[in-house]
Amino acid sequence: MDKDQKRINGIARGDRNALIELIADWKGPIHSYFYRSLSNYADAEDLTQQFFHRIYKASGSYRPISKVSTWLFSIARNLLIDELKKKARRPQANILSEWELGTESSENTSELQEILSIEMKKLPENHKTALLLRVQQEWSYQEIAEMMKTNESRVKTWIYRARSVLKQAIKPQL
Amino acid sequence: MKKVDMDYDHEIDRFLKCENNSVSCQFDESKLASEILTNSKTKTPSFPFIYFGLPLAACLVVFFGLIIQRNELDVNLSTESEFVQSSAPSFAGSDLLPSEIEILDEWLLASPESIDFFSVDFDSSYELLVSLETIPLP
Repeated sequence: MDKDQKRINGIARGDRNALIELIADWKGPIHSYFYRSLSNYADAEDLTQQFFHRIYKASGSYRPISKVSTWLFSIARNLLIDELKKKARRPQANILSEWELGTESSENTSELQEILSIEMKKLPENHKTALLLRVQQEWSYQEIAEMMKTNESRVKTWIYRARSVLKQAIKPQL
Repeated sequence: MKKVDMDYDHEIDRFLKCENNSVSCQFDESKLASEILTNSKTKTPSFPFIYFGLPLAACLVVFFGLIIQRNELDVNLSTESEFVQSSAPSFAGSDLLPSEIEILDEWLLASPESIDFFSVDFDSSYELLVSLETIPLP
């Protein structure tokens, strides 16, 4: 049993330290996933906190059939889908977050990053998730396919398409 | 060409990995853990209510709903039977055949003016003949 499985079991029993350790180890990857998916820092942080609330609630139902990381990102992905649906229902909020994107970017954030952020927001959720898991988490195509309940060739297509869109967007800049 | 493509991929990867800007979560893990545990403790009493209270309430609503519906049905049936009983004797003593009663019903329904069916004495036949002659049949 790996350390994360032990932590999940500990969390299910109400072990505070196990929860703190899990949050400390996973808040970075989960936040990066949300941040690059939503292109909004505040939303990503809020969603990361919601994610750990959900993990606590779901810890009792965790079965070690798949890897802990697969289970964690499945929950993160569901949260992201819910958030995107909410945003789709509130088109005003989308416009605002695009504006926020421009203002929140720090001085050293390049124009290139802004372009990529805008293009990322336009990508379909499955393309985004597949690309982020591949690049950020360095998962294999098989792992991504397992988590997203699809096959490897489809995952490869999604990643290829997402990359192509991003490349097209930054071509004039480079 | 390949080099340019690699540059694009490299830039995209740097962006996706958040290497250019130091984006990290600001919240404190122990604080969040405490908040999660406190929330779960305060929300625990709601579980018995959700699992037992709501189904029980639903069962009671269905049960009382059925009783009320049944009572209403009984009342409707009794009024209907009262009506049938009260209307039936008007034809009981008459010599009319069922087919004749049917014709009369149709005629009364088609007649332009509302006629008090029960006030007419069809046994005497006179009133009926008069009305049949004066009002066109359908």
